[in-house]
Amino acid sequence: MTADFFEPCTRVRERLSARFDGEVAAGGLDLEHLGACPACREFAGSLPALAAHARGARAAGPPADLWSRIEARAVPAPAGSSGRPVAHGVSSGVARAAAALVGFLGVSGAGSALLPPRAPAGGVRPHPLAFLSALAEPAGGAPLRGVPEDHLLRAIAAREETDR
Amino acid sequence: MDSEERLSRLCAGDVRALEDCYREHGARVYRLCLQVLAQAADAEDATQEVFLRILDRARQFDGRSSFSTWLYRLTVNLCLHRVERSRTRRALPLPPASEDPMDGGPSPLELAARRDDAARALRLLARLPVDQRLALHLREVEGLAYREIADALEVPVGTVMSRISRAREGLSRLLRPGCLSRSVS
Repeated sequence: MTADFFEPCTRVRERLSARFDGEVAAGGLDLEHLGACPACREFAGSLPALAAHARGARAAGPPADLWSRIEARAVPAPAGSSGRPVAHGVSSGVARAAAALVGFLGVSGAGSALLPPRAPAGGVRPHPLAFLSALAEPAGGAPLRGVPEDHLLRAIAAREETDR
Repeated sequence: MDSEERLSRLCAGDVRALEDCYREHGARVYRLCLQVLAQAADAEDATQEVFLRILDRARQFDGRSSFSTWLYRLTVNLCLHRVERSRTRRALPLPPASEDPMDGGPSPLELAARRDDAARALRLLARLPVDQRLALHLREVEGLAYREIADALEVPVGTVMSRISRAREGLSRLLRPGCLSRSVS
């Protein structure tokens, strides 16, 4: 059987289905086809039961504690800030890792080349983003890629332990 | 709290306004997530994500559709993105034949109408293509008009009509005697 054979049934069932939902007027139905096609008549007759079956999904509901989980991830921003809440999740993990990295670099001195340079006494403060050039062309100091990975991991683990 | 006040408070990141929004829409969002993702744990996770996104995106709501339609669109897009990411767009595995409550019944459609079991309904609907079951869900479960479904799914009304009809045809085929057990073997 070709697609053309089914096409009238497809169109008729679309109209039947939409009529069942009150979306089209009864006048749009192909009664001649319905009279000659038992499969479409069966489809029309099954619509109430199919609807009842699909509506069974209405009984599904979220667990009682779902809001508290959302609330825990959407904490209000501290007073004086923009007022936007902070979503906790992956970003908080990244923030903890970054904090651990900064702590490690601060202690070891390895990050001196990466931190914004301090303003010299009485001198002109350098551009706040000037330190980024150190990432591209480290001169003398230890670049980030020179920090052994296991040191970073230990520092992050230590910070995680402290947080607990 | 009226809807305008709530929207402005959502834009300001007010968690209490978000809670108010959750009380009104949370169950709908969860059911929609469950319909697409089919697993309760995934639906819970996605629902959390949707409500956190509301705080980020409330400013983008322009009032051209209702807030609930906007929220459905946000939910559908997030869930479909998750489906694509996890490559679970394919049909879900069939339940074992022994669990098929259709076997041996007098009339599958009568049985289906009587057993108003959400888990079972979702399990069967999960066997339909995701675009069809979304349209059918928004119609039958949430009671949306075709125009609203079209807005939520960002497709023409004619496409909604076609998807709902095909979903019903597919559901009808699934409910025929022995259909599920034959598919398993």
